[in-house]
Amino acid sequence: MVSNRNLGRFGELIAIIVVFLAVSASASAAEMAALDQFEKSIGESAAEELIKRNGGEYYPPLQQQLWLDEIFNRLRNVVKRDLPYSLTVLNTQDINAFALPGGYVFLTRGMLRFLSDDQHAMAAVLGHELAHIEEKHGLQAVLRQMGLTVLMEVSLLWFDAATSEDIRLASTALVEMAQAGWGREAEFAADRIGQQLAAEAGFDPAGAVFLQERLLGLDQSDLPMMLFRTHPDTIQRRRRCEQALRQYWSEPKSWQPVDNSSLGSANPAPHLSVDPLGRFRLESRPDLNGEELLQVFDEQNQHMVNWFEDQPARQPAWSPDGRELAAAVWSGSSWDIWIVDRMGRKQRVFAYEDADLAYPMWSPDGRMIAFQRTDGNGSAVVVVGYRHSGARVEFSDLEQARPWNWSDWGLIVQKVDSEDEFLIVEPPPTAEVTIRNPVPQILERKPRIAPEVIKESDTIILRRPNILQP
Amino acid sequence: MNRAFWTSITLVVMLATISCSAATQQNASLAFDPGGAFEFWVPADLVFQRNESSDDLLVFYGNDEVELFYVERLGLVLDKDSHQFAERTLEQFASPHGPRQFAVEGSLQEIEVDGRKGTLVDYTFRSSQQVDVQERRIFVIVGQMGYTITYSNQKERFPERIGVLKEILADWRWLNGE
Repeated sequence: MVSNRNLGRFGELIAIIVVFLAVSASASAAEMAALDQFEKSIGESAAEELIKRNGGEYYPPLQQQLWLDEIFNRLRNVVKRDLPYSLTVLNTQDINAFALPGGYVFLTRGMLRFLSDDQHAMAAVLGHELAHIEEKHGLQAVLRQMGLTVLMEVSLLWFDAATSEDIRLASTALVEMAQAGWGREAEFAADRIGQQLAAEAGFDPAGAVFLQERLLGLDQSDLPMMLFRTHPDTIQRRRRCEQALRQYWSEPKSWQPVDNSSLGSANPAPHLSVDPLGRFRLESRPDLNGEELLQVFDEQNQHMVNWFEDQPARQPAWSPDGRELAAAVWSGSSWDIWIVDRMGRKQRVFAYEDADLAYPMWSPDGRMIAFQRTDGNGSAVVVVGYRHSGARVEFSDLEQARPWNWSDWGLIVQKVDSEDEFLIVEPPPTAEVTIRNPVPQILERKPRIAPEVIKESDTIILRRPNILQP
Repeated sequence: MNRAFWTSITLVVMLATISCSAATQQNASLAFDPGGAFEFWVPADLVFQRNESSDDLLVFYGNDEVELFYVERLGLVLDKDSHQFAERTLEQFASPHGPRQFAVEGSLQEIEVDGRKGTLVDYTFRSSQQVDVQERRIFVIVGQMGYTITYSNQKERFPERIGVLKEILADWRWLNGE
């Protein structure tokens, strides 16, 4: 027998189902609140289970926790949904991160260690997980998986007739799905939205590319199987994140030098170019064929050094910190951009099969390098590459242009066919992580690692000290 | 200026001062804050650690494997005074993110460091090398900038060596007039 009270509930239940099916764009505030409450309940219940299954909660050292909190808080400030977002570090060395409905974000200890030196990549991971919650991927997946039966049960819970068993069942399914990923399209969407959140929070959107590159660089056995099994191809994700980078830069605007003095050459002539730390002098000399050869003179040891493998090189540019030198180098079939360190070791090469690269230009913070790419048809565009990553931003809208200067205002390019026509394009603004109300460190002395020297008649014994691993 | 530059300058100034100031401070050297906020005499048995130091952190190692003295500049802090600064810090140290077996010894005490009010506290913890360590930390706020001055040693050695900190504080000078 159905009571009037239950009939009333049934009517309300139908209303909730309609809300679910219609993706709730036009749902009332009350219905949305009920949905949110349901989401929080299953998320809360699943969170406990997820923590249990992943080694429990890990408490990072204080300074690392403050760093992580700052990144997370900046991202939390730009999300749109009003949820009690939380971040928990899981005590497992697996490299992974999860999100659960209701605002629960999880990062493994392995992932924290893996990205502890890169705020932008960390922001990409957390942004990706927050995007899952923003887009309700978990909620949608659990509803799809369990169908309307559960929906009805859960709805009944909201109208005071269901048991906690319903929530338990839903949350168990949720834990399985969270660990398996929310599906290919959801992962692509989370990459895109996470990248956007990171950029809005003042992190470099290229962090998403750095992240994918680091994952690609891992030994496959280091990654949990689930990451390979369930996430879309990492190479494809990296490419998509890289292609999206251009949209975070400003549109090119016309730029006029304030006066003639500001028209000085950004890259000084090679014969004047001494590195910022004052040891190496660059000299440009023609070879037997009349080709300009860039040579590096070591003032300290008073001899020439060969940093470009005897290849013709030109257009050198020291990084702002003086640690690396970029130059256009002839590879035998095209001009590439090489970055070498102060020992002459090649750190990075930018190369295209069918194009010559020229005019390397460092960003003021030394994180990026702009150069010109000219293809076989003579079409020249500006490309910006990253110093510590293979990420590149292609400015196909800066045609027939070359980097001219890069200041705090932005990257200024000169039109190739016009000496006095300049455009400026601004990179996405980024801000370093700074702790708002900092806490002092507790320092510990580093263990002595010099060997103990024991002399026995004409024998010297070096004994390795015992070092306890923290 | 970069960190290496400033730490080098500090080191050079310290070494130069050793030779010219021996008459006034026997076997001590003068350490300057790279940011120009303070200076102090370093007892001869503390050795400056260039690789551990930065613009905001001066680190000195003592005689044994644990003894440590360091001064940290934290930048802007939002606390209204050094007492609040100390309390907030201790709360964080006592959290699960702080060192193991952290325990405050005694209560917070007021102290003057070259005429500026500070807050002194002793605490103990178990180091990552499984050593029981005792530290005395002094919290000072100068013009909204937070500073801590810390002496650290094995718990058993702490009472006999804490005089080093008193010696340092006796000749401590804040250099700006804020």
